[in-house]
Amino acid sequence: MSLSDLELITCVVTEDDRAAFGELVRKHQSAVRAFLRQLTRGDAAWADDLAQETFILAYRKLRDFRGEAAFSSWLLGIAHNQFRNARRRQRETPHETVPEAPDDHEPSPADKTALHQDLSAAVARLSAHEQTALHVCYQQGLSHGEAAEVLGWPVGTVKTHLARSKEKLRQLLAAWKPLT
Amino acid sequence: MEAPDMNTPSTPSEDPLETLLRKNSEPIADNGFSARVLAVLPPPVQKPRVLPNRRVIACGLGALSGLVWGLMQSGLPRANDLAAFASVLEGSMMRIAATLADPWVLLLGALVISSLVFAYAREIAAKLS
Repeated sequence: MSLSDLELITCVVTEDDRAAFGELVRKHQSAVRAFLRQLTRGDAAWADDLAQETFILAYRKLRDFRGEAAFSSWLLGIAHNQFRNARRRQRETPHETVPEAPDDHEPSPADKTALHQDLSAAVARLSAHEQTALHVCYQQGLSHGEAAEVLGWPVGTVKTHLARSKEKLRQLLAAWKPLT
Repeated sequence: MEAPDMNTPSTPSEDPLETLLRKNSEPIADNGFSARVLAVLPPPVQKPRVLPNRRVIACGLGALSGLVWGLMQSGLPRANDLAAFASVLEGSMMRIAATLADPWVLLLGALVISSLVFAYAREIAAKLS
């Protein structure tokens, strides 16, 4: 029987149970890494470094987790802060540049279909904030309120980015409208 | 291949674009990521080696030796001295009890206890759960 996130967190906090923390990492690594890959525009290596830092920081701060939000949302909030801090550091040291849009991420099976390829290409044409809003709300499955909490944006901004990005996607994918 | 309509939702609650966006993600395989994270976790925190009951014993021994030293300085008490001492002690206790009954002292005590509970809330909750 698998333990819930809260039960695993209790094991880590009260007994420093590393196996329990390993289980938490295994459960949430995909979401955190996917979120960071989205933020880093597909730079898998950088995203994984940030994901590692995210989990280490989460381990250190686990006692502060109050359970008011879902653990996954709490983790994504830490990941977003890690990304913003890293980007700020890179701006301060211009010799280390942020990759613009590397294509070194592994193609997913979904990319194999033409529609998903077109969708991915269309999403890539959106602004970074629009892509982030789409990712957290649709791929991470967060509500508008949770997304606002994770990203540190007002709820209205999340909704605006979503509406704008969906409108752009509909225009970019208009060719997929069936001929009538 | 049947092409979904991107512009008009089939039903008001089910937007094909939103459905597509939700499906447009594959889980990322762990591939040793979790193991790498666990390998770089900070080392376990060493618990203090001095046990609390040892501290209590040390404090008790200190208090006892202080008492013995005090008695030796003033000479061993006789029966009359003990009766007088008991009377003085009783008076002192009454004065202390009267002081503790002061509302301001009670308020101060309540504040101290509340502060301690607030500071150690997490530890108390962990002990109780």
